[in-house]
Amino acid sequence: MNKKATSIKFWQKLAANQPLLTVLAVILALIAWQVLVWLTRLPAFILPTPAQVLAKFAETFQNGMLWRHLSATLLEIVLGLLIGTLLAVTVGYALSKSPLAEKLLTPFLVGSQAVPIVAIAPLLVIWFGPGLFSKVLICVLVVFFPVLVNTLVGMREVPQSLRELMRSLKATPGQTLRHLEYPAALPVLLGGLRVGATLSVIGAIVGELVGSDRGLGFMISLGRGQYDTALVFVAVLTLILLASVLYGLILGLESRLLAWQTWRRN
Amino acid sequence: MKKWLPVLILVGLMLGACKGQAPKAAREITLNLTYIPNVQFAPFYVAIEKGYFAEHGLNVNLNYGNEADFIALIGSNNQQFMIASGEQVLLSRAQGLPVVEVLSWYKDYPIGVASLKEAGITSAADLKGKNVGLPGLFGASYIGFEALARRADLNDSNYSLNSIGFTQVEALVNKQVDAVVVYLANEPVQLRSRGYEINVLRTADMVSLVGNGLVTNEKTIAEDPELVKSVVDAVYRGIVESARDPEAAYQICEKYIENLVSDQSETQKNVLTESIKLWRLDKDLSNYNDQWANMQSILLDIGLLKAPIDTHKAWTDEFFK
Repeated sequence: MNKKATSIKFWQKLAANQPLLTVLAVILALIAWQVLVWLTRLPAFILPTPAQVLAKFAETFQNGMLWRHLSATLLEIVLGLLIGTLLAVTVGYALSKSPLAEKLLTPFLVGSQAVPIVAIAPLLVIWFGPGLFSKVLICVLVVFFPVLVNTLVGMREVPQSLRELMRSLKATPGQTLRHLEYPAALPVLLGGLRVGATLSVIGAIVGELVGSDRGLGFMISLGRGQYDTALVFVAVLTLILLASVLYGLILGLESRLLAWQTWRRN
Repeated sequence: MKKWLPVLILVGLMLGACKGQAPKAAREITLNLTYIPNVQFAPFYVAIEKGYFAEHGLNVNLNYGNEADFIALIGSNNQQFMIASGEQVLLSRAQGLPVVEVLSWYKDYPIGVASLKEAGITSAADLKGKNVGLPGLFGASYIGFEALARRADLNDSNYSLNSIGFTQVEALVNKQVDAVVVYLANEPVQLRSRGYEINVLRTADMVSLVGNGLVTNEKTIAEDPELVKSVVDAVYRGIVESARDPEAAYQICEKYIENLVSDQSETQKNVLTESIKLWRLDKDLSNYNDQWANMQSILLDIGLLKAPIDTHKAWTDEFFK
């Protein structure tokens, strides 16, 4: 009985230790990957081993290749995310104030989401050239919709009683925005930003895959063209890491900006 | 300070990205190459490094991407120069894009069909009843395969075409298909370097078609013939010089192509050698009209061209004599 209780305690302790669980999951995945290579006996240009990918990671890190392409992709993502968010919040706020405009534009906004970005990315590159602008534009387009929808939802969720209170206090539109609408809509808006940040990574890569000479998307094309699958893995794993860091940063921003909610609950 | 560290790292990365985008000098031209940086484009790297473009007062930016996307840019005169295959020139002209080939780079059409030796595919007729993988039903691979098959009196009911993207080597090795349509200078070299014994059927052995060439548009030819002449001259000298000294050309390629690591260098050198075999090193275009006519005939047969166009307007040797 004691043995059983100790065992349960161990598993409970393990389940509560998130960092340890993450490390364990990564180790298990690496072992499974290595076993898969052994079992399938696939050549390295089809499925490289974790060691080969790690060696390629070290090589590209040392010779500056990874840094150069990562920084290019990051620039596109950050610019796309900033511009896309700014545009979406502005349009979302304007639409929330004008039900007529919302009704007129909603079909177009929803329709635009049905168009796969991979289908129009080549056209954007033709129209705006293969440089930074077209890549940022693709990011802006993928970020825009989720942030816009969340802005609209956030604005709608502002309690009517509080709006009436602001009106009774003769608050100006600017004061209502600053003291009521902004704090009330912020949690939902930040949720949209989290989705947008992850999507912007996809946007940047789609743009780079269409045509570019730098960025992690280009690294993937280069690896494919040279049958250097380890390089493809390095680019993909870096992308995963990048998206996770961005997500984490927004979570951090969220906990900072919404600290007052925790304080209020406490 | 600690809490600002992630932000400082982000800003540092972004500044790193900006640093590489310095503005360049005047009289710049953009040359659009398809695919990615590759040893097959050695003539362009050589022409830049040897100063052939600079002698004409030109500073060249190289772009890499999709051939169909680039041809729209050239046809609309948003940009002026690209490398395109003959079928793209005809198909674009049929759509009203006034593109013109001004330099014939490849004397042979660079497409073929590769299969593992054990499959016993030694002639086009052996493709009957086979699963053939190709990137898609578009572009030079598709045209090259159809031309080869039709010359062997095969049609679409005799074989099964599978769109497999650019995974020909992997699909063949994994035996997902019986044969794959390849770029003669690339995939066969990659397969052989990995120890696979293969058979290769060359489209060029069955029919003479127009391969890659330097393409511009009618407006540029009319308004700036000197520019066209300069670019043709520089590129042609790059082609001849690369063929004359492939080893030196390869050394130059290393400057332009990332990740040309030592364990790949022998394979990449072979890719360059095989590419050179396909290039036109003389200026003999006596049969070129026939090559264009053959290309048009194939496109009409497949149904990609609905009606014949004037192939004489698709190319000129005015700058290449």
